[in-house]
Amino acid sequence: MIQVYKKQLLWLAVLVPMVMTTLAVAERPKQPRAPGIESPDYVWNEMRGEMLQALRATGDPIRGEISFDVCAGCHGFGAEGEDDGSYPRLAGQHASVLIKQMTDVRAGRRDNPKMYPFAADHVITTQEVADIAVFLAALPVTPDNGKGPGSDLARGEELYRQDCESCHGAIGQGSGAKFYPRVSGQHYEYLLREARMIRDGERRNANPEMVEVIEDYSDADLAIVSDFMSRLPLE
Amino acid sequence: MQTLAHSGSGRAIAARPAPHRPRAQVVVGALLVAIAMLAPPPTLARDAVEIINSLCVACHGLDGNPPATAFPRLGGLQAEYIEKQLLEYARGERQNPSMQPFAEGLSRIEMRALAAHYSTQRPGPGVVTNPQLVERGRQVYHEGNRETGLPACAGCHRPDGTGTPRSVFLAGQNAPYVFDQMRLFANEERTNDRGRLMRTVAARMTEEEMRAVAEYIASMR
Repeated sequence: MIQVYKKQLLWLAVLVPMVMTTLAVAERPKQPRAPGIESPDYVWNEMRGEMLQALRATGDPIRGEISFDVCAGCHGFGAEGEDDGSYPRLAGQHASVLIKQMTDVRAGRRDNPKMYPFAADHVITTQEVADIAVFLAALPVTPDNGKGPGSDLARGEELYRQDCESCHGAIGQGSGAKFYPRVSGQHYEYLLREARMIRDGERRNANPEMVEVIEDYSDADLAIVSDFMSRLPLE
Repeated sequence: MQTLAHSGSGRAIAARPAPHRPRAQVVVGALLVAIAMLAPPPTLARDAVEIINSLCVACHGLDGNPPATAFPRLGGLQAEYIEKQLLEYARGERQNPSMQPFAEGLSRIEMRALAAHYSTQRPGPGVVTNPQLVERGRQVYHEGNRETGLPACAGCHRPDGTGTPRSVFLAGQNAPYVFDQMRLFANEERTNDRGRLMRTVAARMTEEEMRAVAEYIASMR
């Protein structure tokens, strides 16, 4: 009997590591896909799940700076991002907005396969999301962000006052309480890219109210208003 | 049992009633005590330098500066990092047929002693094997690659390569060793990285980027 079991155990000893190795390769962190704006029962900024937990947590900016190391490789040590908009500025953004965006990426409501493996819960805990958010919110916003061509700022201002100001604020300061991002000090290329994606339904965690406002905007309109936003004064 | 009886061990003697031969027991007992006092029991932790001289010195040197660049430099690496690697070599969680048998023979206390020894050694100057790659490597290390979403190494390992409690000290590490490790991470053959971060990063690197960044790391001091 013991001999028979030994044989079976030997097979197990060979097979289990083989299966585990296959699983490990298959386990490469792939971003999940949660229902977003394309889904009929999508509720923007629904107060539930991890976002709610992170919002209730007390963020610690000192721990946040330590946890931010996995973000700094792309967003920069001062979270200044890149002028070409490849990585957005995070410095000075509202903590609530940062928590919403991070938890949306983690849950798969905002598609970002490049960022996901660095922001997923196998790297960062919910508490760390809150810590990073308060660390970033307190960082200074500097006026050296990437700007647009400045070709039609008067028209850009007109569009901004008409369609954007009521939510994003007179000087683009946004609203932490309402989860509206600050747009001042942000890189032009990033503002433009996200505006296009929001208009086209590709940013799946977008606010449907905003989609409605900009759905008739041409690419040129989006560029002009993004240009204006990138030049808003910093308070 | 048979061998025990033939060897005339203390237990076999004691089991036999021998009231007229009490001296033999005393002599055997005294001998055993003397032997026990002379030879330290093997379970006690050995001194780090003693272990290094018998196991590690040929590849890693006593001061952590190895004779060949295929082996990692250990001087100045975080003690927590060295201890973690030894433990994971022993458990097979970092697979390395050369290191595993050495690590398996170490107790946890010995691993900690080795880690403490090497972490406090001063690392010697790094050895650049291909100087033409250093500038390209500097760019990859500090800027990453925006096209492929490769983060700058400097984010976690710091701009000066000294690392943090969570990311290993890199400055001056041997280029062939660093290159090998990046390849292993990219191929999912080394899997003991925090949060799969190095596997993610290395999988986004070209071989050219790996070679260049390894040379730049070797040049850092």
